[in-house]
Amino acid sequence: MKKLLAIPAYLWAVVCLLIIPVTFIRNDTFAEQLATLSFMKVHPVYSGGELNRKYQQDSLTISVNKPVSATLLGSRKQQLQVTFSQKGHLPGIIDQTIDYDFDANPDFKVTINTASGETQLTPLVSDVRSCLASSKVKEDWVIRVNLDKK
Amino acid sequence: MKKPRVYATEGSIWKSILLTFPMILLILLFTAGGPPDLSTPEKSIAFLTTFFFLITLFFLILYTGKTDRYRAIGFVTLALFFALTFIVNLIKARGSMTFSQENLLACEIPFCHIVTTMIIIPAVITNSIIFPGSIIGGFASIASMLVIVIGVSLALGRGFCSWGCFYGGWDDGTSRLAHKPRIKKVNPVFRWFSFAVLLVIALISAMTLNPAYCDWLCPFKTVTEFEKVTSFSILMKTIVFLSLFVALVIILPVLTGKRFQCTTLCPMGALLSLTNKINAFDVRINKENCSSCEKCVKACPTLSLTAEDMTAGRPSITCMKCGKCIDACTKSAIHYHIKGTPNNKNYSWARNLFLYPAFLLLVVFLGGTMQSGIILLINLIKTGNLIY
Amino acid sequence: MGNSAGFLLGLSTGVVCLAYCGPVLVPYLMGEAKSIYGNIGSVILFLIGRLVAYLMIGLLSGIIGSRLLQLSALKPVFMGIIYILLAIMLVIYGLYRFQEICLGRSRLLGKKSTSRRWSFWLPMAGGFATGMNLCPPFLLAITESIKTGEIAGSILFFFTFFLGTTVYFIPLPFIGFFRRQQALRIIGKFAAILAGIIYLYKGIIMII
Repeated sequence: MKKLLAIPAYLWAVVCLLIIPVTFIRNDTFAEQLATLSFMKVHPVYSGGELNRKYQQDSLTISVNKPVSATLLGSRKQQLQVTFSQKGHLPGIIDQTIDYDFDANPDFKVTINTASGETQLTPLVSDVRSCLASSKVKEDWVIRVNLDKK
Repeated sequence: MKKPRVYATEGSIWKSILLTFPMILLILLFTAGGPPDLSTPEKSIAFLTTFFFLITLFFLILYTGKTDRYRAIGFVTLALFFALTFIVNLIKARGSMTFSQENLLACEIPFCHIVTTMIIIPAVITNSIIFPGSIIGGFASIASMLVIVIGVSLALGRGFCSWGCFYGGWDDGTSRLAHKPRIKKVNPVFRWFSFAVLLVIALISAMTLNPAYCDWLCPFKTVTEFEKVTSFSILMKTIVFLSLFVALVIILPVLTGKRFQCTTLCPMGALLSLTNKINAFDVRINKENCSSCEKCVKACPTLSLTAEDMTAGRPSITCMKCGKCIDACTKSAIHYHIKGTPNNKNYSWARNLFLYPAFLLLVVFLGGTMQSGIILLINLIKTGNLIY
Repeated sequence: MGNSAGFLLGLSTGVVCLAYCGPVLVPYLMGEAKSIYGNIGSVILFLIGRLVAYLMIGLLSGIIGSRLLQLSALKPVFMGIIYILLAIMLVIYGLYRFQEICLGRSRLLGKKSTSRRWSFWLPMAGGFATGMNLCPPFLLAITESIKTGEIAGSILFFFTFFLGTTVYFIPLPFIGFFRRQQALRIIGKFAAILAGIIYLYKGIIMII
């Protein structure tokens, strides 16, 4: 009986032996399959969230994303991503007033020196808190703003 | 007293060569990925050195019957070459070891296996991954690394920590620096500390949607990449991870001879201990042969063996299957074992069936890394510049 | 209206409460490693602590809550102090009776009565401290209770809010399933110390 039980044990050991080479040889295929699963997407806190609206202001194209919750479930803390892009080079200074909720009232004013990266954010409403990140990303300039949920 | 020969290959050149042969093919496959590239002298030297280094290690493991002695050489080499190549590649790509806001915003941070411990709960709750990396494509993508974590967990469990982890070699190496450790007795209660880290880190990461261990604790940021200090908070984080590196990866391993970081801090090790039950291999103590000399207890680098564990006939779930206790035992009372098979039989079969996947894991990680590292070192000698 | 609103708010945000209280309560329960009944006792004491905190805040929010929230300079200091108190409590708990785990017997506590007293007050104090934690649902509850405009209404609102959130604490006593595992007790103690250090840091950062 013990010998019989040992057979599947040895078989499993052989399978374990095979798993290592298969894992690495077929890594790309398995990774592609894994990537199709529903949870395999970067959380909006890191990806910046969904695009809410894209519009043209002067020569800049401004993409305002939807605010995303910055902590787990029901938090008051939110983050907002705004992307500034322009064909060719970005201007030396980006000086824009953003109405992120599109209620026709400006919510904050941002001034970015694209050469030094210096960013000044002036909240115009109480739910805008501070600038979380400001950086050139590829050809665009991205800022993330801390918000309080309305 | 001379240790009795236990394994069929021990002391037998022909049997050792015969069993090394399949590994030669696997090493060729995984270090060269096809016909070896011998187009330049540097590449030829790098390939041949790596190839013969790996073959020699495997042959010696079989021929001498000593597992840990030769495993450790490969494992420490992996850690050193990994750090070297990773840092040089970072400096080439980014100009420094630090990552910037741009890398974070563009989700370009390489995913490391340890992050797995922090993404599970948020993935269940939020149906997404809380890490600023790329899901697929690019260097160390999330999907690709998760496939490796799943595969290795299934095949070797916590054996990964001694055969494949590209960080573990650091404290494995430093724990061997002192011939005799200054602190001889370490309370085995500390082997549970990494589980507490796992518990707290998993909850905090879920709560804050932030991989807290990477952000605050990971000592190996010292030898890979870290956030550029631009605020007080980042300065605090830098002080914390540098202190942990000095304390847990250098000072305490040297003083105690134990792998302190892996034992007490690494949440991945704790997670792999929990999945350790799935794979086919473990380590067992043959109580009939055991003389209770406790040499194995002293040798165990992860505090996984105590007198109680010896009575139970197996190390605790924290065992990394490094083989140090097996090497230390003069009575051949400890051995690799295949779960579900008789405890006191077929030592050679069990050992060989374990050694192939375990050593292959080392080959996979070390093969490419070592070749790249050797090319870098050759260029350093030739040009005086590491980053050419 | 207030009764159902409080309960519904508690029910809808209770997961967050668990997420905030979990790091405090789970290590404690694992560290104590009592029977399921023992854990039910601990959870009840923890919940009583929370209830006391809630009722007190209900009373306060009825009287001065709105003023406190408007004083934005005081809010972080208040939260910081709460975090530090919680941290101290967690670290004391983590170190307390640690000798027993290490050496198989208690040096700190020779007398059973002292042990009982601690095991009575610790979960209750933990519940009180986490109950005072200004987590998002709690802030929402304060805001909503202020709307009731009267002290009794505010207290009742917090009581029903407490009931709503308590639903999520029901599974926790079953952590006692692992009571025989001494390792889990040790892990719980270590986790409490770690969580304490984190809350201490958060508290200090909030105050400075």
